[in-house]
Amino acid sequence: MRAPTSCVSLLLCLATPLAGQSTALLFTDVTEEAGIQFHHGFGDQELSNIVEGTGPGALFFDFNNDDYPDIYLLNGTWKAEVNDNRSRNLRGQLTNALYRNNGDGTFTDVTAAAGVGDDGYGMGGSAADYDGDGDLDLYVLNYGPNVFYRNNGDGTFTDVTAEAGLTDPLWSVSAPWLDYDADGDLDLYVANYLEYDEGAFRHFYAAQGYPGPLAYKGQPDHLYRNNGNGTFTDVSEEAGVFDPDGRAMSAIAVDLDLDGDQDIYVANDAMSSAYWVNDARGNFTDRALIQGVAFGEGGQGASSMGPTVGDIDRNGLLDLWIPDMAYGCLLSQKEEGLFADITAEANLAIISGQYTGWGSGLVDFDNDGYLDVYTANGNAHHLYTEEDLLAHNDRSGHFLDVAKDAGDYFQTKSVGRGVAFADFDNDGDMDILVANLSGSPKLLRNDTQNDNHWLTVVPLLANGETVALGSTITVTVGATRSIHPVHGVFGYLSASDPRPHFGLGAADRADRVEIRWPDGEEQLLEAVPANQILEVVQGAK
Amino acid sequence: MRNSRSRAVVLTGLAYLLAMAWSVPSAAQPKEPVYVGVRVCSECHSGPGAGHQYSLWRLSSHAKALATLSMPESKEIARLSGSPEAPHTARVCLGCHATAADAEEWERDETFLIEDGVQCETCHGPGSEYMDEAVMRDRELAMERGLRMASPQTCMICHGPKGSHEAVLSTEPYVVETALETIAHPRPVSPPIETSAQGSAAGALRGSSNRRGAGVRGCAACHSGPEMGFQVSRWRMGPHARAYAVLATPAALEMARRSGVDGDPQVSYACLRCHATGAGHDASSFEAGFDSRDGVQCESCHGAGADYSAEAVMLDRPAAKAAGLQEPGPEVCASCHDQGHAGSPFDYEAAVAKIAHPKVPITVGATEPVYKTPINLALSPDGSELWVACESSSTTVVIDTSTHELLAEIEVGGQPHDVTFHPDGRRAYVTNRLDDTLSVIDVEAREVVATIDVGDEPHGVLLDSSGELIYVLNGAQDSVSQIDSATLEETKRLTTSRVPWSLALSPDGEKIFVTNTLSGFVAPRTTPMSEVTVIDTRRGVVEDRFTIPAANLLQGIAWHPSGEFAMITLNRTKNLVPMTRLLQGWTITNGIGLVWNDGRVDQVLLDQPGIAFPDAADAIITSDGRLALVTSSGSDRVAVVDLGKLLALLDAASPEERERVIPNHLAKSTEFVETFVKTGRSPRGITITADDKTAYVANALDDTVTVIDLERFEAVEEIDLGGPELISQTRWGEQLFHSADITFRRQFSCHSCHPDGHVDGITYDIEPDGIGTDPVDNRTLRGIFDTAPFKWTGLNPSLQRQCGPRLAVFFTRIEPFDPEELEALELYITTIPRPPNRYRDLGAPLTEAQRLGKAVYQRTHTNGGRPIPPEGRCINCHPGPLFTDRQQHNVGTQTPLDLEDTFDTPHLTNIYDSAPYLHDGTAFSLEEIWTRFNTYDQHGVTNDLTKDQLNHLIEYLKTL
Repeated sequence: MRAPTSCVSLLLCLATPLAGQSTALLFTDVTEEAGIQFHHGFGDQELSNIVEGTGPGALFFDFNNDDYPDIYLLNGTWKAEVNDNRSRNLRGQLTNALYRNNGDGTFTDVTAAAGVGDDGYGMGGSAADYDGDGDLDLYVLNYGPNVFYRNNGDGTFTDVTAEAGLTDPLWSVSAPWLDYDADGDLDLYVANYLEYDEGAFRHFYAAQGYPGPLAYKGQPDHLYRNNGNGTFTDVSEEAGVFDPDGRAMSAIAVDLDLDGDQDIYVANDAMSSAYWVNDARGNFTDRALIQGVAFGEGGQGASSMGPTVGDIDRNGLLDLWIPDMAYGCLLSQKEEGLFADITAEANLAIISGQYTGWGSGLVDFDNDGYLDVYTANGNAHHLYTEEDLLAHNDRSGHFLDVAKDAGDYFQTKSVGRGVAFADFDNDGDMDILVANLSGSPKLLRNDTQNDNHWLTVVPLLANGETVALGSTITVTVGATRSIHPVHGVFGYLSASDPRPHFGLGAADRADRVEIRWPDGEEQLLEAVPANQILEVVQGAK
Repeated sequence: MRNSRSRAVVLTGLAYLLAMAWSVPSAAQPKEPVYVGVRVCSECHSGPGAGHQYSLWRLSSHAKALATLSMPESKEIARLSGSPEAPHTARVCLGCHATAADAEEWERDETFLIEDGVQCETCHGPGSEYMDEAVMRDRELAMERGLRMASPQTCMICHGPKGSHEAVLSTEPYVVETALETIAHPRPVSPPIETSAQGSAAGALRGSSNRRGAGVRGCAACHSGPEMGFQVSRWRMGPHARAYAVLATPAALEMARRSGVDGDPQVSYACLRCHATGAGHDASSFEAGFDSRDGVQCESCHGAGADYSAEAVMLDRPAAKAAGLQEPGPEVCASCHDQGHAGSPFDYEAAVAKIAHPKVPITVGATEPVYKTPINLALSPDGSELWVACESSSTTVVIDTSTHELLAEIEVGGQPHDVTFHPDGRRAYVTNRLDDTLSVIDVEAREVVATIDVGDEPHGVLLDSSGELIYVLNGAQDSVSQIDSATLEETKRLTTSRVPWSLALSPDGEKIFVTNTLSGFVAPRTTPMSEVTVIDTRRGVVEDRFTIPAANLLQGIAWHPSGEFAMITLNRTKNLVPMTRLLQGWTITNGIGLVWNDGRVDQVLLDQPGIAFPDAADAIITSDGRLALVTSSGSDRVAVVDLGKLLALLDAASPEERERVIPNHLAKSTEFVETFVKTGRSPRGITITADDKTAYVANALDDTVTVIDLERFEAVEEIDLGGPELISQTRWGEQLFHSADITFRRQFSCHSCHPDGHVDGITYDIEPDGIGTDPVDNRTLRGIFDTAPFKWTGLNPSLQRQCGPRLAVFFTRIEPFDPEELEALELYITTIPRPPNRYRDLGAPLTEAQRLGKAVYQRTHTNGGRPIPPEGRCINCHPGPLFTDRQQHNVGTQTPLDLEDTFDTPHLTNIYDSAPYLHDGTAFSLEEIWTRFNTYDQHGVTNDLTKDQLNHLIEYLKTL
């Protein structure tokens, strides 16, 4: 936000604390000036199967601990069992890329130096400090064996996939980190999609070009317990999350029911989704059907894409938003444990209906204290482009389509897939990174002009470096509370900066900032001044 | 009943289970395979254990097949194949002389080299999917993945008798059994006895040992092609290129034994030293791509080349020498040949002469003299110059009208057809039929200032009266391009009828009439119906389409100065009856039409008792409106029509007479033709000076312009356009083709039914099989020599048979061509060029639709997964490069009119330009072949195709 942060209007400042300005959202495509030259390829000229049409995602993660989120971009490859021979010349030509944030608005491709240019058929990824050494390690999700890179802390990475036991040869799409057993280290949930048959099954509606997800057998997701010694053990069955025929599109791991343990929500494609509720002892039960989050759009097994979580209606309970190939699905937690489909009432159905939504986020883009929606769109079966979606929350839980006034970018079209969010320039508003299929990613800088205030709260573990995933931050301004689970993996195939960002509207301070740490400890800060990135180290005074 | 019902349930269940079993994913979908090249195959198929399969191939003609296209004979063969391109770039030649020549880029892996000629994968199928050793060891799996074991029929696709080759080469007839023995390459049943000698397979490089070898393939990057004298091809055809491979022969083994080498000669340094470049050096001595199995390569004589092979170095001779380039002398040859196995001493001079490979550009064009073949002409607006478009020389000749001297000859594009001037006289425009372009010429500078793309096979060209817009008739695309003369941008394209030929602007400038030379599509057994397309020049739209009933081959056109009508030339072809009426002069009748402004048409014939008026080609009317001049290219005459008499005759006739009698009357023209003026050979275009005193006629086949004095009605001069004196055999054949002299009372020529060597688009009843039976569609003559047998019945083995006795008996009713004439005629017909394909250049990427269509063309299973028997696959009967198996098949198209049910398989090259289709011309479009005439899947299994798939198939067919 490039406006002075003081109140310019006394009247507005005196109004209800959160009644900040609601000026038009504005984003600028800065991809080129930022020096990002990546181009995604899916290993072929035309989409001819579901593998080619599914990726890619993107990550914001601060690999060098300079507090400026860096960017990791997934790429496809040419794979004999997936791609046509017509594109054989792409063999070995497509690799993932790591762009270092230089802190001045530009990025530098450091893939080679960092040694993270995996040439597998990339889908998504996630980053977390699995070994507690204070830097973020990178898990790359592929159609085929995944790759786990341990951060050496010096700008380089080491492939430790095999020794960590995280090869997972299935088609992995999303991997949220969570301490499911509350033993103090981060475990890993790997969401897997389906078992592609190398093109053997060829029955489909001709206009679709290739068969959809139900033409294939699903694949089980895997829960990997961190053994604390650099290795992981597959505990899917004993933890109760084993579903041999799931078709995960992406997953989130947060304390969705706010009971102090980490739950998992898996958006499955064209079938019921799963809501694995943790019993605090690391045993999960799927309560999706009973709580109303298994199906969308009036009970259909919708083509659910990337799930995202947030408190849309400010009732103190977390809601779910899952875009799909039609109207999308906004599941509002009306009372504890009971979700209702309010997509149409909230107007999101009308805004989304013409698009094929993939990655999305519930993010307060104008710092007015209410979560807005950004969704990347693109045809699922053909390289047909669509423009992206930007919907502004009018503070009553009703969304308005504001894309056409939000900058030239929204006049352009791409085959959108994953989206990641971060305040990459640390200027107090949330920026956007869109990963496009067969195209360039787009870095959209938030240039919204208003006087609203903000607060970013960064809960750090005792080592002072590691963001405490699994914490929950609650910020109170006046009578209104904002809840923000600390997690990076949400949306589609992608991972965002986990640092919780709050819009405070007109308020120049937060009355209360409550931190519930992963181990259950609670911490309260009062009268926290706005417009700062507040680092809080657990246990520090 | 209960029983049967339960059985039905059981059967349904079984069917369901079967369906499930079938749809269970069991194997990957077959991928489109890629050509990997002989070098990949050779990784396993070399050495004694594999029966030296690679070396046997290397010693065969197949390995030299591409190189032979550099031979002078190839040029002549290409000419006789109707190829306007040089052999090494002609799709029809490359189709059999190299593997995967016409494949898309992606279909050839990095390891594939087209220079290797006809490689393993021509017979065995592209290898990417079956080449892995594990797959190859499972023959069934390998076959599933595309491995083919060639049958004799496969060989015959290329080795079938080809007139073009037989005419030039004196090779023995091809006997497939013998040929298969010659190229036999069996793997030994039991492993051969292991030999003890081990050695490096790499060979000897000349020059200092610290220089690296680039290999012949490095040299080939520049030293190929006609500009470099085909140097690499020459090497490839010589013994040096086979030096390594010969070591695999029994004779070599024997020789090695005698020389004391007891191991495998191909790994023995003693042998390799002189049989393979680079022997004794390890792999680090070579650039990637070096292959010692290429035998004795350039660098054995010229020195290791990695340091000098860069083009920039090679262009600087001293630098190249400094970098290791060497000029070989006798000692270099002697180092091997003095110890050679030949009994006689090495003759250096003779040997060098034998392998000479001068870097002398080789002209790949035909050796035939270049004639002019003037087709159309135009007078400059001020009347001072006459410009003549000359088809054969690709030029426009400029003549001074006062002195009749040749002022200039301007190079334009290929096969110029028509020429016209801008009203201001500063620009001239020439259509180039072969190149699909329009040349814009600065008249004063006499140079082409722009060449712009127009539609396919442009014919007539004209500007509107303001000079702002150019109209170009796209003959093979049935359209008119309207072009802004200032910007030279095409502003719109209007649709005509079939093959628009010529056009004329009305005196008030408001209309353009366009003649269409082919009839529109008509119901079977009905007369042709042709069109004059009317363009409104103010709005630039097609204002009307006038039907010219029972006429075809509308060509020339001229407006009457009154603006009331235009005169067109036409034929009235009596194609519904056999030629039994030829003696009465009623087979092809020739004449003119008066096309009135309101769309009425009067047709009159210019044929007269005793002599017809064959191939009326062009017409012009004097500015006083009194006379019309019409050329007859088949009888070398110009008819002088007294329009006053003609109009009076029409006025006096009843409507019934004007519609039914006069158009067919064979003597009416005696009442209005003043006289006939003799011209040179094959008069085509005609024009008149503004003062009505002089007419100029372009005589296509003797390269002259006849000057006619219109006061005396006499040819007063023949302007020689400077063509060759010598009349070659081909040219003579061309003259015979275009002359009606061979026909009873000169009623028609070959050209009458095959304008431009192509088709007239109508169906004939020409055979002695009874009236109305066996109607046959006219077939093109472009590039047909190698598609024998001929005729839809496939009964005529040669063109000579077709054009000789058969023509005399059924067509001309006069003494046949004598053997010399027949030979010349055949020669000409074989050289009628097949234009380059308009939908795909050689090796160009296919569009998405074309690519999907290719998959349909080659498919082996229906959409539902059922196998298609070979005879139901397109590619089975239409294999490339000619896309015909030259056999007769029953494709379910027999009608009650047909006596036989099998028909010759037509070739498909440029199939898009010869509608209608099928033997009787009943399919008006390619699509209709399958939507209307393939009810029972006899013409390929196609009924499961979706509309999209059929569209794709047709898009692909157009690329052939």
